[in-house]
Amino acid sequence: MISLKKATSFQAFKATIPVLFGYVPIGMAYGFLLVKTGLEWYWAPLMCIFIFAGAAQFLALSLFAQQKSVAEMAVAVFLINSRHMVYGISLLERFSVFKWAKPYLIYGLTDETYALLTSVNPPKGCNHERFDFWITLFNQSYWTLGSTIGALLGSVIMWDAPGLDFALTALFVVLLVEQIKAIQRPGPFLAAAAGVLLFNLTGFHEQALTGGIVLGSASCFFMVERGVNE
Amino acid sequence: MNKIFLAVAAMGLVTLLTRAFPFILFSKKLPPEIFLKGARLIPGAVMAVLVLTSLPLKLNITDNGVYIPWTAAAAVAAIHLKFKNPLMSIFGGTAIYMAMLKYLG
Repeated sequence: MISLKKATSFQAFKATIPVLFGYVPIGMAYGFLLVKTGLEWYWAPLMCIFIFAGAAQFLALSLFAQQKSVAEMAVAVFLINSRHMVYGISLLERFSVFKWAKPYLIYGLTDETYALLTSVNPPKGCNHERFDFWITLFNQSYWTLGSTIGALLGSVIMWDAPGLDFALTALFVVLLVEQIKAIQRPGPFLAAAAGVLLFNLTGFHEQALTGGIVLGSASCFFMVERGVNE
Repeated sequence: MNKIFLAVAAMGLVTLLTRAFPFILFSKKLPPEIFLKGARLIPGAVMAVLVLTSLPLKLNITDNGVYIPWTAAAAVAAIHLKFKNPLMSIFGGTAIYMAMLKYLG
């Protein structure tokens, strides 16, 4: 039993390696910026535990720098994180059989964790709930570790591997290829692309992530009703 | 200190609420099958958005800030279609990206 548990955490670790190479450098950049904004270093690990949302944490730093009120910050974070509601909708089925790890999995649902959970199936013999738990925990550790190191080192060292964080873009490309193979119809992808382009062409670049996800996902339900490409 | 703590707590709570909302809404029973069918298509749409928003959406393709990430992303897809090994595609593509950044950037 112990060796099986070990195997599950090892399999999960393997699945999260691309996230490791993305979260650590981006987390370090976040830590640098946090200290530059004037916050004490320990807010880096605290935010990675209390908030644990990359885009929202970066946004929080600029809001702190602009001396915004707590209410304004909460609204801004709600808007940027509203895309996570969509993530939950498509994980309702998968999580419905889970028990002990469910609260943690919901709390830790970042873009990258969502991407892995929806695309990677646990290898044979691995407990599904434990596999998902380890993926989320590994991802949060990388992000917290990178941020804390970045905040502690401040600008003392220079990051000499520019472009390493492309690993996250590459991860998304691989998972997109897998989704295209799995879904076998162009509708959801075209709708998502149209959503992103709509926000970009109208000058709302900052809203393209959340807006694209909301529009693209909403159209998924429409495709089932209408049976497009079915 | 107090304001920072309050702000972090508020942002954390809001983040948790956005993530928990669907699970609270459907805590008693799962939504109908037609809804779940639609939900199964969502990861595809989300992944397309994540890819497009992490690449520069600009038409000046001679700019190395534009063609380098797009070329590397195309390389990731090509390597993945050929070898079907996620880690190889991701690290191969990232290495290509870093090399292009160093020698062309």
